[in-house]
Amino acid sequence: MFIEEILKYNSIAIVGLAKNAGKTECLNYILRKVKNTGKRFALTSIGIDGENRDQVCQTPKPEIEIFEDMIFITSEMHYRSKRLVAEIMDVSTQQTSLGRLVTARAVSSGKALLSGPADTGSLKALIQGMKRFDVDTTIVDGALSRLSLSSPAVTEAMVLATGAAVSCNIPQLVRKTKYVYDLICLETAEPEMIRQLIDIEQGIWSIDENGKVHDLNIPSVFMLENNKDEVFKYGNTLYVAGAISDKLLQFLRQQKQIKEITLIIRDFTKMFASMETYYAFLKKGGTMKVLQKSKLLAVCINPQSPEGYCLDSDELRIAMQESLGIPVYDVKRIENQLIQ
Amino acid sequence: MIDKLEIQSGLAKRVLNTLPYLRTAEAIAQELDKTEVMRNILQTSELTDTITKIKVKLMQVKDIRGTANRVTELQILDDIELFELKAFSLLVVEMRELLLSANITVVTLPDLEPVVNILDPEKMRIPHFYVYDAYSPELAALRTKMKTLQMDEKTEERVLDQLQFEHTELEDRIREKLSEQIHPYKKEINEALVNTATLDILLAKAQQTIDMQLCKPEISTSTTRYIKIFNPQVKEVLWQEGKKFQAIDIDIKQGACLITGANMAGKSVILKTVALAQTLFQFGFYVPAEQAEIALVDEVLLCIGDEQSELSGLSSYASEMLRVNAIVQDVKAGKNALILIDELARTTNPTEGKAIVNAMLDFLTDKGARSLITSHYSGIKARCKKMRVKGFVKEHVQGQLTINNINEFIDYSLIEDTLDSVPQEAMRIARILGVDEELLDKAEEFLDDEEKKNRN
Repeated sequence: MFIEEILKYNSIAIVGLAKNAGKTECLNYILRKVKNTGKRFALTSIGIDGENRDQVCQTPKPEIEIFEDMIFITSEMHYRSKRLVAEIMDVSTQQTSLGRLVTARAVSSGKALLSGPADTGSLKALIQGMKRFDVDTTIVDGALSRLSLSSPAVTEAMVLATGAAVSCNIPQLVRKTKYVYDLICLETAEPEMIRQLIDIEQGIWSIDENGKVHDLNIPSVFMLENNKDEVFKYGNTLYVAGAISDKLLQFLRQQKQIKEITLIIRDFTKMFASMETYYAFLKKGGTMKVLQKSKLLAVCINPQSPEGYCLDSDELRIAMQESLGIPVYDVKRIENQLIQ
Repeated sequence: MIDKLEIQSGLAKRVLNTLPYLRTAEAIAQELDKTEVMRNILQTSELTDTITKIKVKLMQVKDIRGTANRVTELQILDDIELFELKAFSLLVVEMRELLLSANITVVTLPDLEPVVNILDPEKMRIPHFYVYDAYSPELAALRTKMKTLQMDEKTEERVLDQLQFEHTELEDRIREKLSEQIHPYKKEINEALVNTATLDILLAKAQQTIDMQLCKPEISTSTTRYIKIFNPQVKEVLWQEGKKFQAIDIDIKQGACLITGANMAGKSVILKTVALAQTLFQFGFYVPAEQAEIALVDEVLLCIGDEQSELSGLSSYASEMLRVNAIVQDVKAGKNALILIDELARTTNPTEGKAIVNAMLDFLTDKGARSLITSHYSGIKARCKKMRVKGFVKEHVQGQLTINNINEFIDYSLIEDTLDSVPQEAMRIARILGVDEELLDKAEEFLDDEEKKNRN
C-alpha cells in the first residue's frame, strides 16, 4: 500500500481533480491508516475546507476525523466549532478571513473543520514551522481546483483523488486523469540547467547550445505574437517561468523545427493549456520538461458522483490502472470490505 | 529614526505610536534618566547574555490587550484567549526572573506566577493550553467514558452527540470559573502589558543612542544650544557614499534668527535636524548631537514648503501663507513654540517677499518666539539675529567642482552675519550642476542688464 510511502515524506498534498472527487474520503482513509504508525502528523488545509456542507453544491461532505496526538492547524472560527478535545500550542499573528490560525494537538479523537493559510507561500512557511512540534509529516488537504499547492515547491509528494465528479463517462474520466498524470510525470531538465534556472521566477528565456541562458525580454507569453522573430535567435530550448497557455503551445507547434524544440516549465502546476493542445504539441515532436518534478504516491478513485450516479468501481479501477500503469485505489470500497 | 528602533514585539510597536509628547521638565528628565540607565546596562558586558535572553522573550510577546480588557471586564475567556494569557504570563514570569537576577530595576514586571498556576494545573510550564482533565474529576470521567464509547462500533451517533453536548457544557462552566479566578489579577496583567512594552521600547531607545552616537540633552531654561548637531538620515546616506557629514553648532535663543546662505549650503537640513532633535527631546529621547541643552516648547511648528497644495486647489504661495498665518495665530495666543520656516515667501516677487520676511522677523522678535527662518533675500533690515552658512571655501575651489564632490567645497558651519546682503551663487551652482550653458550665458547677460538698470 502507499501508506508506507507517505511516512517517508515531510509534506504530502491531497488534491482532487474536481470538487467531490473523493479527496476528503481519501484523506480520512489515510489518517485512519497512519494513526498507529508511531509517527507524528500535522494536518492543515489551504483556504477554507472541511465544511459540513459543500459550499458549491450543497451536498453533504464527510468531515475530517482527527486522531489522538495528531496536530492540526485551522482558523479560530473553525477551532471553536471543533468536536474533540485539543490543546492549543500556537496562535498565529497572521490573519485569515476566518481569523488567526490555531495550531493544536488532539487530546481526544474527533471531528473538526480544517482551514489554513490562503496562499502557498504562507503554507510553505507553516509546513517548515511544524518541525518545532516534532512533526514527521504534514498532510495538506487541498481545495477546489487548487492543484498549485501540490507544486513540488510547496509539498514534497502528492496523492491524487479523481472520480465520477470529474466525468461520469469512464473513458473520459480516465483520459482526463491520464493527462494530469502525464504532466506530473514530466521529466526533469538536466541538473546544470535546473541550477541555472531555478531562481528565475518570471519571463521567457532561451538556452543556447552551450547551455548559456539568455533573457528574451518578453515579459509574458501573451506578448509572444509581437516578438515572434526574437524567440529562436539563441536556440530551440525555451524556459517559461510562468503559466503555459494554449496559445504558447500552439505557437510552438506551428514552427518548422518543432521536433528540435524543448520547452522547460517550472512544474506541472504551471500548465494551463488544454489536454488537446498539449498532446498535439507532443505529437508534432515537441518536448516538455520541468525544473521540479512532483512525487505522485497514489491515485484514489471515487466512483460516486455528487448527483448520485455511481460508476462500477472495479471497471473504473481497472481501466484507470491500465491507462496509468500504477496501482489505483478505491478507498471507500477497501474500507467497506474490511468491515465486512 | 523611529522606524530604525529595534523593537522586538508587535505590542511595543503599537504602544510606541501612542507615546505622549512630554510637557514638563520632570517627565523628560525621568525618561532621559531611564534611557541612560538602560544605556549603561547595555554597555555592561556581564549583562549581555541576560539582555539577549530578554530580547528573545520580547520577540515572542504578542499584543493581548484585547484579552486583557476582557479579563478586566470579567468576561468569559475562550480557549484561545486563555492560551494567549498563559503564554504571555509565562513570558512575563521568565523575564521578571531575568531582570531580578541581573538587578535591573529601571523597569519592573509584576508577578504573574498566580495566573500561570491557574492555567497550568499539570505544572508543565509550557505555553500550551486546553481545559485540562485536572480541572475537574467530572470532566476527566466524562472524557474517559466518551473515549470508550467512541471505540465501540455499536455506539449510536445520538449517544455520542449527547455526551459531546454535556462535555461542551462542562468545559464552558470550567472556563467561566477560570475567568473568575483570573479576574482579581487584572491589575497585574494590564501592568505587565504596559511594562513589557516599556521595557522593549527602552531597550531599543538605549541601543539606538549607542548605534547612532546620540547624546543625552540637558534641560535648559533659556537658550537651546547644540554642539555638533547632525542629521542621522543624511549622515547615513553620506556615509554609504563614503562621505562625511559636517556637524554644526547652533544656538536658538528667544526671538527670531535669520539664516542665509547659498543654495545647497544645507539650510533646509539645519531646520529639519533642529525640528527632529526638539521632537525627540520632547518624547524623552536622546538627540543627534555631541552636546545639547534644550529648552522645552509646547509645539514644533515647521514650515518647509513641501506640502502637497495642488490637490487642495491652493497655489504654493497661498498654502504657505495660510500655514504662516496659523503660526502667527499660535504665537499671538501665547503658545511657546519652536518655529522653523524654510525660505519664507520664496514663491512670490522679491520686493513683496522681502517685506513679508522683514515683517515676520520683526513680529517674532517682538513676541520673543524661538524661531529660525531661512531666506535668500538681501536687504533684510528687521531686528533679529543673523546667521550665515559659510558656504564655498575659496581656497579649495581650484579643483574640479562637480555635483558629486561639491559638498567637499562647502563649509556648512554657521557664523554670525552682520551684512545685509546674501551670497549670490545661484549661477555658479547651476553651472556645477551641469545646467545648459546657453541658458546660463543668457542669464548672465540679463543679470548684467538688471545691474545696469540698478546703477542708473
